[in-house]
Amino acid sequence: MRINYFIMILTAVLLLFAVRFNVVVDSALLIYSLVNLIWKGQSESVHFSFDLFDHFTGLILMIIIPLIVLIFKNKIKLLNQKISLVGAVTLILTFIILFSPFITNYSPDLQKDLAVTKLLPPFSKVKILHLKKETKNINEHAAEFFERKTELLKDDFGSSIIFIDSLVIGEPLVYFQSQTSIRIDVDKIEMSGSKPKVTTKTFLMGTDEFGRDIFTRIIYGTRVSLFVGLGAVMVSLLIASVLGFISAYYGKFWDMLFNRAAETLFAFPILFLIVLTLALFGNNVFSILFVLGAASWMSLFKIIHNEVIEIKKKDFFITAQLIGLSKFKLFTAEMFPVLRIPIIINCVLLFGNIILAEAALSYLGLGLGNSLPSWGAMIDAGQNYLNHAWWMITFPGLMLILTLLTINELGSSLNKLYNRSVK
Amino acid sequence: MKRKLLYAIGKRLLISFAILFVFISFLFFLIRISPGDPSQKLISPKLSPALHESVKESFALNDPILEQFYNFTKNMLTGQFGYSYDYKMPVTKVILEFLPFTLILGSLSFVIQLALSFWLAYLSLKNRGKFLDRFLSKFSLVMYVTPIFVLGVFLVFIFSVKLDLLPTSGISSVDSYRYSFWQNLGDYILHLILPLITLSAAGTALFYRYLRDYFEDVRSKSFILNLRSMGVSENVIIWKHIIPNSISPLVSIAGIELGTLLGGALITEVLFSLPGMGRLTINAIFARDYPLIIGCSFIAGVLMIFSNLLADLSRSIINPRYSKEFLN
Repeated sequence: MRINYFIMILTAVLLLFAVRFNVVVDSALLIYSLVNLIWKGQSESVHFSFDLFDHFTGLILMIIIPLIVLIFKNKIKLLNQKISLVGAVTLILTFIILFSPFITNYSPDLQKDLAVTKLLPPFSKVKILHLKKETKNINEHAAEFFERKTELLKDDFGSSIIFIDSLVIGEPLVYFQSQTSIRIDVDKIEMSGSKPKVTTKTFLMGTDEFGRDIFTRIIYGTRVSLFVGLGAVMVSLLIASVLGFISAYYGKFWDMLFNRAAETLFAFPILFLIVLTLALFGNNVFSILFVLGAASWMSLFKIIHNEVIEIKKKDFFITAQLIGLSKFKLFTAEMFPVLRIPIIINCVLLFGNIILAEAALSYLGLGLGNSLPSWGAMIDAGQNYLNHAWWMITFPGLMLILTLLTINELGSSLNKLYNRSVK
Repeated sequence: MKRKLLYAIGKRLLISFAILFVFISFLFFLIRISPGDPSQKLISPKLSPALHESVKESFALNDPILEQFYNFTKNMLTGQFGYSYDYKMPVTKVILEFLPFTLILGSLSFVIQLALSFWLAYLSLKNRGKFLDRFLSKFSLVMYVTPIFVLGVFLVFIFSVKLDLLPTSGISSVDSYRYSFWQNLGDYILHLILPLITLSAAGTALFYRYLRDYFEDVRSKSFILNLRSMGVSENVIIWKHIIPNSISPLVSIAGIELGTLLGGALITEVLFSLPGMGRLTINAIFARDYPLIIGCSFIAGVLMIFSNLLADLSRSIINPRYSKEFLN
């Protein structure tokens, strides 16, 4: 059967919907009670957080994407094309970014009961005891909202769950966490019927040294890595286009200055400079975005600069100038369509390079640190546990390679698509 | 012609060093305006602030920044880089201790990259369209995108942890002082295998892909078809016509690649804890060892200038058309 993008997108959304049906329903209910609260004029008791927003946008996109795909099936040519491996992986990565909370439904920073969860190999199952929740009634609707919120957004501390190895049912209850036995009153535990409620959690890719789920961290790490890549590409595009246009339009002096600067930066091992700046001025998301962007504008600058100079010589551009088009019109109608394609291709390749650079920085301890899950930092951490836990480096490493491979292939296939002369 | 060439080289070196000086000055100001100061590392906060001040004074960090820059320029022009705060030795001495290792590692890796990629590209030219060719071109793509630290960690995991064949880090074994010369040499080689593979993989893949493309390019030209129709043997076509015609664009790429080798060496040296310039620089940066940072950047810049010059020179020797461009 011919699988095209249309079928792939629909299947992916439906699959996600089916597998995570309860999360979807919970999110919908949460939205309902939120709207209810705001309707009742009690919006001050709602604390908007990124997680909340994340679930909502995910839910909305889950409805909108199939609709768009269905409506525009015949209008967008890409949807009816046969899917390639690169396209499929790109699509999956996009899905991971958009629907992270639906794919894992577990906090990337949750670390609890280290005795049980530390350094678990892939596919290990752990039993979970649920503690009884105390509901404080502020008023009816707010309580309902908060109950649903805690149900859906698992907090980072896991205050209502206990990871256990085994359980002896009695009075009081005794549970084991790697040889230590702990007693706990039955009335603190949530019961299902006469027995305590025990669920199992499967750690698909194992856990790290702090008992955090590697699968979840990889999923959220995708977001972080790709966000950093996108942001830095934007920064460097901005710098490159400003400098490129200045040097192509105004005078010889600026031309020479920027070109020399670009050549010098090209030649210098730029990683040193990035490391220096981040080590001296501190590293957070935005400084990394800015430094990576500022360190990689050279190739884009060269392309824009050369293309603009070329276009300025072309007949169509001179004619357009003579007709008396405004500068804005000249740019949008004459220059941009020519510039667009090489810029897009270069941006895609740059995107890959920046993701690589960010991972390398995290590896050197200068990335996003422990505040956000990042592939490079995970590999760095895994290196210390090489003897005990191969899964700590393997999965993030493979994910990184897969992503870079896809981006590189995407760049070269775009190149092939637009430049027919390239084989 | 010779005088003209020397003049061109001189002019180019002058411009390059001027740019390098501007760049180093930029680094100087970048370091000075950054928060934190190096004396914090040497002086315990329990000691008196007066002592703290006197240490800063002895480093001449209390002077106005322009005066510091004036001194710095004077020292740079006379070739003095000052004393490293961390090693308590002249910067040149520290760098001379670490530089040879990086040069050896880098040049070994560069030779391996060129030789191996040439051999693989030759193999794929010979077996064009067969399994080996297709495998190599797919595999080279994977190798090219694999980050250096991921590859290094995987290699350490496989060869050192699981198979226990090769050492994980360092340059010599703990008890190497008891070895004879040959045993020591063997020990060094054993320690260098993994770093060399790690450092060379991406470059080999890149060169291989370029070489393969160039080979393909020349192969599809009509003069090759003509030669073949005249009954010239395939070996002669490959060695006398295809390879000489496709080598020259590679040289300029090799020149650029020589520069990235330094950046790659940085991560490789950190990964395998080798005593090279990369790790020295990283440690200097983290320790805020200002003179050493400047010294290391200067050396890196000089290496870059000369490798680029070397690449352009060899390119103009191989391809005379380029030498005109170089001379102007």
